[in-house]
Amino acid sequence: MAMVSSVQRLELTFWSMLPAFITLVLTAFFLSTKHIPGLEHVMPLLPSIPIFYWGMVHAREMPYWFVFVLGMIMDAVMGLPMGLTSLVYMAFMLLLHAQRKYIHREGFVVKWGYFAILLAATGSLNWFGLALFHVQPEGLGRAFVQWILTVCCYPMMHRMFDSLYEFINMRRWYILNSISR
Amino acid sequence: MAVKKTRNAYILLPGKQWYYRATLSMMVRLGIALLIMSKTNNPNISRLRMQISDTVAPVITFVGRPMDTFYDAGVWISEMMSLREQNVMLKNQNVELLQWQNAAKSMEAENESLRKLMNVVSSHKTGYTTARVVSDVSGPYIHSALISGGAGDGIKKDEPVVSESGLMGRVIDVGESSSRVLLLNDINSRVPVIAEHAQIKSIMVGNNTGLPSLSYLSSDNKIQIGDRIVTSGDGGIFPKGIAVGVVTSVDDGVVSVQPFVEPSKVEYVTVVDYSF
Repeated sequence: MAMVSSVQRLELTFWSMLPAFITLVLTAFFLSTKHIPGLEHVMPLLPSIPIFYWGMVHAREMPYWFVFVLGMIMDAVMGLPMGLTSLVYMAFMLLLHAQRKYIHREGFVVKWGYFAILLAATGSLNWFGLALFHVQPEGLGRAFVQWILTVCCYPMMHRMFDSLYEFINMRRWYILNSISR
Repeated sequence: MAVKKTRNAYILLPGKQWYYRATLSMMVRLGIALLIMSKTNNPNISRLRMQISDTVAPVITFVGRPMDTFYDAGVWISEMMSLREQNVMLKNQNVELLQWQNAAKSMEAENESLRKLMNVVSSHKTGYTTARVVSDVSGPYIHSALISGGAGDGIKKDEPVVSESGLMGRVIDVGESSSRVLLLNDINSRVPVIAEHAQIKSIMVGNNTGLPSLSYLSSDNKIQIGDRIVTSGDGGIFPKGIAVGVVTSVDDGVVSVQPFVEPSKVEYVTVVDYSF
């Protein structure tokens, strides 16, 4: 059996790190200045989409520690209580993994629906967490709009990630087959 | 995380489950500990927050650069389209400003001579630091911005942050190369202000909407719609006379103010070092 070359190993590492890298870039984009008045209040929660998708199809590439660190970055930059988003994302992952075996086999609509439910559940958790820190938690209307926009963004990103996942699998298959030959 | 591929999904190997569970439990405990420390305003949390912000601010700036370019291109196109009208308007404004400049110079000279005559000692000196807005993450619950200057640039906690239109907020956390600004409409924001026309002092309180309100007003106050609101200088954080906003509604004793600064449109800000 042929040995894996360093270039192939590098390529395999690259493909396994790509989902986390995409999530990081989307998080940075979510946090950056968009210069569109009003958008910052209802900006779709872009990081939650790759977390859901990769957490569902390839959990190994969206580990808990990464999601925890991502939450800490968001808390630090957004000025939210440290640990809140990390815990919310942990709950998101736990709820996702609890149903993953069933959701993974289902069609797109069920996955989309479960994403919407998970997002609403963790959004409520986030709201309760913030209520501990603010005397008058407000902005529920905006949070609802943000939820709707995030749910609407999901199908497009799901399709993109599906194509990417297929491509990654194809490359992996090619590399691993070339090794075993 | 050790895994084994099955037909439909990846599952954990039983021998490694304790490790996975222990890691998960440790992270949940760490998250709760961080949350409790945030609640008790532990200074280490503030330090950790700013260290993370210092690290990720350049990445956010880099990723946000295409949006900045689009925005700049849009501004450039709209400016080019109204170049002629703007030129005429600026010429007229220039004539007007030259008259004001003459008046200001004579008043400055008069002020100086009167100060000398009365032997007045200046109470404060003011310094300025210009910084770039890295992130205006005004979510549904929180309204703050991250700017690219920090302690290394001379920025200190509680310093007021202004743009060309007026007051934007104040610095609440300072890192080495980045700082967090609490915006005027955040629920935790309190700014001592004065209504210029009615000369009534009050506190402008953020309420997580676009329109902060004035509190501690008497029921028979004479504040009217259109009154200009400026900082009163009380409390020693904000210098007196910085433009804040304009009164947009007076309803049942609730006075709402539209801030002059729209944070999402601001690219650069000035942090004012107002030392007593």
